[in-house]
Amino acid sequence: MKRQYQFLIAISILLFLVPWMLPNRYLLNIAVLIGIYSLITIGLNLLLGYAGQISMGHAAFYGIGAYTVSILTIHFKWDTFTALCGSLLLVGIIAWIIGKPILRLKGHYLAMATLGFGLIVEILLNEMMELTGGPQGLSNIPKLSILGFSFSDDFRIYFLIWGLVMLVQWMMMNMMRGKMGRAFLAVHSNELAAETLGINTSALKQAAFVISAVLAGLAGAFYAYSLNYISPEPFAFNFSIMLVTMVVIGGMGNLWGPLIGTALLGIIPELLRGFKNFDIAFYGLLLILIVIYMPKGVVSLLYWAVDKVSKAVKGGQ
Amino acid sequence: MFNLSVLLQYLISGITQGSVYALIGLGFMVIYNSSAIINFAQGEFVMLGGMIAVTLVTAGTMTIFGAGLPLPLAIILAIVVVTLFGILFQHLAVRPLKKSPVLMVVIMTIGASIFIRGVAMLIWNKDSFSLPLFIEGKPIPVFGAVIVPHYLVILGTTIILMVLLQLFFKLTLVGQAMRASAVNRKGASLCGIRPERMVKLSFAISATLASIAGIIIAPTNLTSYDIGIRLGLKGFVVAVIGGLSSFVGTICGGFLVGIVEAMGAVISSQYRDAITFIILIGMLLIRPNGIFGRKTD
Repeated sequence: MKRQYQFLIAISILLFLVPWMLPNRYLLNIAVLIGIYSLITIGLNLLLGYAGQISMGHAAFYGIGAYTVSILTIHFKWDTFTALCGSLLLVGIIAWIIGKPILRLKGHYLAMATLGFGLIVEILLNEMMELTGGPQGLSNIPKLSILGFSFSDDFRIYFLIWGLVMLVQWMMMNMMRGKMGRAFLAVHSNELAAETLGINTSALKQAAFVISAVLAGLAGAFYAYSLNYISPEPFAFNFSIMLVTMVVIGGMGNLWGPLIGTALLGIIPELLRGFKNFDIAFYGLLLILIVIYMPKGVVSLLYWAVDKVSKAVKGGQ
Repeated sequence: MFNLSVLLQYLISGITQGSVYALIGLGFMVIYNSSAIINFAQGEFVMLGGMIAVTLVTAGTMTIFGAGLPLPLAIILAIVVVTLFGILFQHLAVRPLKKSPVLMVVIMTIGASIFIRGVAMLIWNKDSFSLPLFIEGKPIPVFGAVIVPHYLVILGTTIILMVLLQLFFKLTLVGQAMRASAVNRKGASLCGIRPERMVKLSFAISATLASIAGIIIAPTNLTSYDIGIRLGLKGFVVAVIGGLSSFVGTICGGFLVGIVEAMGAVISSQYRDAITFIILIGMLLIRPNGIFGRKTD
C-alpha cells in the first residue's frame, strides 16, 4: 500500500510537469478532457470493479451535472460555485432516488435499466428545448470562479481538474484502507459471504452508485465550465458504453485501472487523427487487439513492467 | 383525430417492427446461451445484411457482374456472406478469448461493432439506401387502417424463421446438443458434444438471423452504415426482457417492445423511446427476475 502512495506522488509530479511539455493548446485541452473523464471512470470503477454493479447509463449523470450548472448560471444567473454545489446535490439526489429500486435488479436487467435511464435523460436533453436548448445546446456558460479567483485560462483549468483527480484518487486509496473499503473488497470477492459477516451489501451498492454518480456530475460541471458550450451529443448512450470500456480496458477492480484506460482511450483517437476516415475502423480494431492481448486489462502490463524492473534492479545489486 | 383506426394503424406497424426486434433479440439469446457472451456486434450484422443485399442488386462498380443481381439471388448471397462473416468473427476474435473474463469479451464485441461500423462507413459512405419491395401491390385496408403488403413479407418471414428455429432446437440432434451445452457445458462435453463447435454454430445462426432482419426491413426502413446501433440496442433490450434464455419470452419481448414503442408514438412522437423505456423499466421493477424470464436462483 505504501508503494501505492509513492506511485500517487510520482504521478502527481509527472502530471504537474505535463502542461509545460505539451507543444500546443489543443493537446492541453485533450489532457483536460482526459482528466474530466478520469473523474467519472474512477467513480465507475468503484461501482463496477468493487461493488460489482454495472451501469450503462453514467453519461446521464455526467450530462445532468453539465446541464444543471449551465442552466443555473445562464437562466437563473446563479454564481458559478453555488451552481456547482447545486448540481452535485441534484445529481446525488437523483442517483439516490433511482438507485434504490434499480439496484435491486441484477446483471443484465440492471444493465438494461441503467441503459434505459441514460436514454431517457438523453431524450430529455434533446427535447426540453426551452431549458436545454435542444440539439443546439447551450453556449456562453461562464467560467468557474471561486471566491473571486477565476479559472479562466487553460492552464488553471488543467491544474484544477488534475488536482481534483489526484485528490479523488487519494481519497479512494484511503477509503480502500478503511472499513468501507474492506467491506467493498469483501463484497467484491464474495457477496454472500460478505452479507453473512454483517455487511449491508445493498447499502454499500447504493453508496457506490451515489458516489460514482456525483463524481460523474462533478465531471459534467467541469466540462461545462471549461468548454463554455454544451450540446446533448457528448452525453449520449455511446459515451456510457465508452466509459465502461475505459474501466474494463484499464483493468477494473484496480485503483489505477480506470486512469490508465481513460488515458489510453483518450489519447488513441488523437494518434489516429492522421488516418482521416480510417480512424473509426482503426479505433475499433485497436480495442479488439487490446482485449485479445491484454485480457486482464492494461494495468496488468504495468505490473508486469514494474515487476521486471524491480527484478532487474535486485539482480543488479 | 384520435380514433380506433389510427390506433390500429400504429398497432400494425408496432407488431411488424416488433417481429424484427424479436429476430434480432433471438440472435442475442442464441449466442448468450452457448457462450454467456452478450454480442454487441449483433446490430452490425443486421446492418451488413441490408447493405450487402443493396450493393448486390444495384448495378455499378461494386458488383462483379456489372449489372445488379436479381433480388432473390442477392438476398441469398447477402445472407451467406454475413453468416460466413459471423463464423469468421467467432474464429478470429471470440475464440482467442476463451479464458478471458466474460465482460472482457463483451468489451471486445463493442470494439468489433465500432470496427465494422467504421469499415462500413468507408465502403458505403454516410448515404442511405433501400431495397426494392419484395412484392408489389396496393395496401390492404383493414377496419380503416391499411397494411402495406411488405409488412406481410416481414411478418411471414419472421414467423417462419421462429418456427424453423424452434423445430431445429427441439427436433434435430444438433439443436438438442446446443441446448444441452447451454444447460451444462461440462456435462454436454462429457456426452461427446464439442461446446466450441456449438459456440461457432450459435454465431452462425445469429448472424443469419441478423442478416435476414436487416434485409427484410431494407425496403421499408432505409438502411445506412449506422443503423446497427439502434437496432442492436433494441435487440439487446428484447433479449433481456425475454430473460436471455427463453425462446418464447424473447419473441414476446420483441412484440412487446414493438407495440409499446408504437403506442408511445401515439402519445408523443418526440418522447416515444423515453416512454418505451419508462414502461420497460417499470415492468422490470415489478418483476425483478425478468418480465418473461423464469426464476433461476
